[in-house]
Amino acid sequence: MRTNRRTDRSWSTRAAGRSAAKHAVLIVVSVLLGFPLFWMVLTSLKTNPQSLAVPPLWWPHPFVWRNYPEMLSAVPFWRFVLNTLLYAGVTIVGVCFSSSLVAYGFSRIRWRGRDVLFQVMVSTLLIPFFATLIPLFTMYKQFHMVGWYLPLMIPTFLGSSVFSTFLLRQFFMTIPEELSDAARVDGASELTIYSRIIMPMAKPALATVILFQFIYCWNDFIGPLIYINSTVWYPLSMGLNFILGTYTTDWPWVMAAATAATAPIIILFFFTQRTFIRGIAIQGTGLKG
Amino acid sequence: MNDSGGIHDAWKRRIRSKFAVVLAGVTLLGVVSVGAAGAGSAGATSSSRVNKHQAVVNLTWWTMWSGTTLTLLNKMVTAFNATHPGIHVTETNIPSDATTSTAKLLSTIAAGDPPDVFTEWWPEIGSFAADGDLVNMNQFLTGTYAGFEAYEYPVAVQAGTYQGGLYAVPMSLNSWALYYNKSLLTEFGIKHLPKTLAQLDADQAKMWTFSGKKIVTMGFYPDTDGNGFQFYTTFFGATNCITAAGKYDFASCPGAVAEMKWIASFDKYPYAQVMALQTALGEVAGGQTDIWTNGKSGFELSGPWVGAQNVPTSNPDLEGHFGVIAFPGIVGGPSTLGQGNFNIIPKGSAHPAEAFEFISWLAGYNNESFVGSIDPLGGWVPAGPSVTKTAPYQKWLKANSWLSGFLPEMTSKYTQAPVLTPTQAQLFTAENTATADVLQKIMTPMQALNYIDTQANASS
Amino acid sequence: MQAFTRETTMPPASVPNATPRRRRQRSPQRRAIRFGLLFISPWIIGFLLFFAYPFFATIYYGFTNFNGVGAAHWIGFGNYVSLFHDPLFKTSLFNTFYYTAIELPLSTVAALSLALLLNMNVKGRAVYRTIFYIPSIVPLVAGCMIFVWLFNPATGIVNDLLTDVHLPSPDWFFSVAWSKPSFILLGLWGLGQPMVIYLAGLQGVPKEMYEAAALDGAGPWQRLRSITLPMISPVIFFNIILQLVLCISYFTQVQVIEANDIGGPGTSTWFYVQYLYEQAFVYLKLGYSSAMAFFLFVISALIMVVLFRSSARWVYYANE
Repeated sequence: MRTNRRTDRSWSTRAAGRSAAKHAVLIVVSVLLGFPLFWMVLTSLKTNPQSLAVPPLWWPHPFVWRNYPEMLSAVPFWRFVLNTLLYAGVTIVGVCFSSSLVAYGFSRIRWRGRDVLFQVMVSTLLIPFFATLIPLFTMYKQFHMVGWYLPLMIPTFLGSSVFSTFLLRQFFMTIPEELSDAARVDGASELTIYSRIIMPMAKPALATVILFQFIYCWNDFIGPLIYINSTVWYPLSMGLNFILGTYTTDWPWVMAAATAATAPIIILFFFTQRTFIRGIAIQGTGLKG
Repeated sequence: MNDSGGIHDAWKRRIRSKFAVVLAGVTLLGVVSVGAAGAGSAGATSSSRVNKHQAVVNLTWWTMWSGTTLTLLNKMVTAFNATHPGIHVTETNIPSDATTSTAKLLSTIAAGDPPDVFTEWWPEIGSFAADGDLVNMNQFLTGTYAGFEAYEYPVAVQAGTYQGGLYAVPMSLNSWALYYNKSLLTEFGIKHLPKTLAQLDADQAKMWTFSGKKIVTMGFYPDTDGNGFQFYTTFFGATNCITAAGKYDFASCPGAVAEMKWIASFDKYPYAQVMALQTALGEVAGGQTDIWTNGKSGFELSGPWVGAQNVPTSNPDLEGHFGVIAFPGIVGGPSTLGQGNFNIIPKGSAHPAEAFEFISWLAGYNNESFVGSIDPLGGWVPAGPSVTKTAPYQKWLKANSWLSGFLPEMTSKYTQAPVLTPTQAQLFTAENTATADVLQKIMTPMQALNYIDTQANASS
Repeated sequence: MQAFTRETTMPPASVPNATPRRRRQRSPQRRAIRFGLLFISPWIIGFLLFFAYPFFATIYYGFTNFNGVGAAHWIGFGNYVSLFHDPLFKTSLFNTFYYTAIELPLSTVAALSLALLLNMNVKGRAVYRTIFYIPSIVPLVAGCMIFVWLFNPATGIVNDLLTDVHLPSPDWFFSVAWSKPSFILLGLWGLGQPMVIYLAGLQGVPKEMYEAAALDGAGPWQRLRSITLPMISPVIFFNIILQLVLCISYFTQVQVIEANDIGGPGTSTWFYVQYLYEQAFVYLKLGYSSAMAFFLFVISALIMVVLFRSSARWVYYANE
């Protein structure tokens, strides 16, 4: 289709203007959201008195890089990271396994009482953790599970992450029923539909669940605090409090630890968020007109 | 969906995928159980290694501190284990603040498997003792330990006793006195140290300077460290305003009224700015600096650790330019609130007798010279006066003349510890809230005292 | 596009009087229930094993004067009566609902807006997405400390900047009026999580629908209202419920920031779970705290049920 050149030019200037506006907004928001992090990294490169300077010191001279190796050798940082990775890894498997099955049951099969039970499940989120702590802990003690991560890991294999189940269920609900019905007519079992049709389509949702379970474990403090009794198994979240201390505070060390704790996730997120981008073209196909 | 392979293939795939799922699940449970077994044996390793003679008692000790304090604690544990072959103490650091570690402790007491020794934050002891969560140590005060309570400072005994039973033993006591910044005082033309409360009020009033809204220097403020009403009670004779029936009654206590009115006299200074400055300088995380250590305040009420640890670490320029005097209260002489860091034996501890042996050793009983060498490193006041007479402690006292402002209070007749009651924790919170509200003009002094009484007398 | 209703439609029933293959033809309804329960059985087992006992124990303790360790003596509604005479209970309830009422809609709109921004085709959006997301993954203690430091009225640069442009500079976390809004701001800073969920949802909207609508002449706002929002309404619903849960149980950030001044300036940041925690683990009044927990549960469950019912009208589950 031939277009008038003049229209072409004004369209492209408008497009350029729109793009500039988008970038402007994005940059402003980036500055607002990103500034505290910039400050965090900056503080990690100062000496303690510098970090407390009033008025605030904008650019340390020179960069105190030694905060990082000092902090890393003062506490068993890598051991803490390893523990957290183990904690996250096992629970991610548990969540993917059980939460997807449960979410399937709450979304892809129509059965009586389903939605009531679903609301019951979601309502279990409404009791604060501390309220049930004493009976919960006593119960785990009876099961001989206290002392390590077991009370935090095993329930994830039994659908304990209501957050993940809820999220997956919402995604599963967006997949048209026709796909399931057609498969059923062809004789496929529910498990087949689950594994061959639904799960492949839910990649962005699964990626989200995995990411969030990882972040949750990365930052979970109160759970490990209550159930773990030996320093060698502390996760990173407790390790950071270790550094924060009760009578000593070396702010640059704390910020160095926080930066070191955040950096891997930033990298992980930066490279995996394409999974969200590579959306489901499949979901669009198969629809009539 | 074209299932050309037919049902047979679908079944095969289904079995395979089921199998895969089951295999993954089993592998994981295997990994998890191996990990758990490993952890279980890791926990038991230390005891099994030592348990050659089957007679060694293993004690677990939970503490909350880290940093330099933790290093000192580790030193003490090593020394104890070396000199007590029948007992092995394992110290576990619970990196949390006082409240979350209490949640952990309470869970283990409820489940019947607590640590043997726990270092507790003092306002909790009354509630814990009243609820039966602690072991009564009276049963151990026999034989070699018959002289234990006599060994301690009287205020230490008072602070750890509930209805006649000893439930808590201090590892270190806190003594509170008035720090002053020599340079700042000179700068504002204050030539003599305040000897009365009125003089302190007058002196400190000269030292407030601002830049716009912000504080540049200040004189004194009664709530800079989160230390409110309760820390000044001994200076006003208002520590234990309790009726015979055991009800708090600060509102009827003339000392308490005088104290609250004095606190209220500071409401002309900007509360938010003081708190903000305090937070900014790290105090909110129990930091090693505060307004005074940064040289911005003329006076401050605090303990020996400021001069012993904070100043050398955070502001070495201040060394030699500060001093300490007893707080010029309205009672007859120097005093301090009796509180500190207490060791307790949770109920259900497997070895309470050995736990007490350890606790008393930590407190310096029959162990004065060792504790006398450790306390200076932490800037601690010991549990018993005989420790202060040991050589290393004396050396430390002589090297730091400002320390002389702290020790006389320990034996003063005006020094008191708050009586342990089941609602001691409520009292503490109420006192903090009341102080903050009075300073922000949210409550009048009398309202504040009534608030404290109501909150502290609330029963379940 | 009809909204998904809760009335379920059953697969076609089997033809009656066909060859008697009754053993293979269970009632489809019962088959559906059987498979439904089978799939959710992990959760049922977990619920019965790990949740039911603590939950019902807590409800029970609410009617006793349990102190955590000793025996629990029944006192009937004593705790609940005390609750209604407890000014701090009312204050904490107010504070929590104030926070929820403002944070919930604000964060929903903000997170959605950010996700829409990040869904656009701009160069380097991977970088933007990462930057927007990082605040929510920074370790909580460090993040809170940094945030409070920047907003500190005595030393922080935010107030310096505000004064420079002649705007009022409030005392943020240290002011009775501004303490809760400060926490709301802190919550908005960490919006990465709902934002990413919206992003994932936006990715699932078929491009064909936008193209078809554009061909029909629909403008961007109309496309947003008629396509985007309905198509991601399941995810919006999810985030609303989740934010409700997070707002009601708001605890850790307050604990970290107000460590030295519990309740903040005045009693402005005594939040509900904080007060619950104080009663349980500082005062050792576990009966009272259990009553508080159950009270909160009932109220929030009611809110949740209302939200679920309303969802039938505006949440669209992509069944044409």
